[in-house]
Amino acid sequence: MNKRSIYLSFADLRGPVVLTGCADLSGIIGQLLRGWNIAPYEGPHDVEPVICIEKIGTQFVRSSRWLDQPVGFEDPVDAVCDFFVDLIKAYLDTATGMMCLHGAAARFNDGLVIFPSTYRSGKSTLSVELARRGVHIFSDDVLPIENNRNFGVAPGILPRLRRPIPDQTGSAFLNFAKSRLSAANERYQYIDLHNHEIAPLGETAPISGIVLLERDDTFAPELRHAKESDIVKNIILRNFSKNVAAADVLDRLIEISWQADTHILRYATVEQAADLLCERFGVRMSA
Amino acid sequence: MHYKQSKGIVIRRVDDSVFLVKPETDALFQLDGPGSVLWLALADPLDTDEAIKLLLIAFPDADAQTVARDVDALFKDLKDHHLIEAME
Repeated sequence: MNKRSIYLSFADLRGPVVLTGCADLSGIIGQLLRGWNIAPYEGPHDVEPVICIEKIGTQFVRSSRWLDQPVGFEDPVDAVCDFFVDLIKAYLDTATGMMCLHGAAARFNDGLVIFPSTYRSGKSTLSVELARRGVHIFSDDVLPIENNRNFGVAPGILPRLRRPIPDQTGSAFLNFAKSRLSAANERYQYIDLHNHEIAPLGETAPISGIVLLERDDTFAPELRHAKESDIVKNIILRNFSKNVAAADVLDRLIEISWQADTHILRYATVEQAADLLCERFGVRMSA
Repeated sequence: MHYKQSKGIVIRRVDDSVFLVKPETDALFQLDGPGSVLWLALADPLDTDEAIKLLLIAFPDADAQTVARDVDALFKDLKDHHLIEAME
């Protein structure tokens, strides 16, 4: 049986995304992205697709130039989660010299604060809690950094919580997460933020704070100053863009850390973390 | 044998750390504490005995045997990654 392929354009990507035998994935993808202007592809037909996903048997199999070999997923939400990895790489290719950090980012009164990723640090849960309090979310996972000014660039992807949500999470958070449930499976649930709560793809802001998250329930929560070298070391490890030479990455990250207020946030619950952050950086209420 | 920093290494100091990049390979290295002191000293030719003496002056409370072991290991690392070169 012939499978139907749909060709979609996303933002300014250099070619189409092709879904073969799985057009329904576009519904999930569209539900989870903001500002990507997904539309039927109308560009030249000789352009190579940037990403292809084909339903083969029970699997959604994806291929792209960033993969050594195709990868398959049984679950459509897992397939879409992983598709976003390539989508961001394709986006980085649209602009010269764009870096990308693995981490979350939110826009407070004092500017964009980034939270470089550390293992199970709770950056997604924190992002959702900040959104609940009216802080404008840029990202819960990856943050492109533009070339000219080193501003953070919103990737326009809804935050994703790992399931189950920890027991000690407060009822206000749980109610928010429940009322904003978007695409989900056994392992993950996306949180549906409204347009004024999350920055769309391409929105930029200067980076004014860098906070390393340290989840620890043995000491009182605190936000303390971090050494610049610790910050640089940490964010270098979070850069995954291969488009920029290491010496340039180093200089740009040093410049970013010079300009930013740098801290380590030790916390046990997401509410404690959000309290300390809102007190330090101020809440920029969503419009 | 004396060694010196290899040519062309990009060096950036941040606090008490030194970050190094080898442009040919895009490899990035970080040296802290004694490692960064030693790296800066390697701007001029230095052998391991001189390096040990230098670090014992910079860190007078350090154990001499530990320092000697650390210096050997660091010189080996720096040589392996072509960050320092032997002087004629």
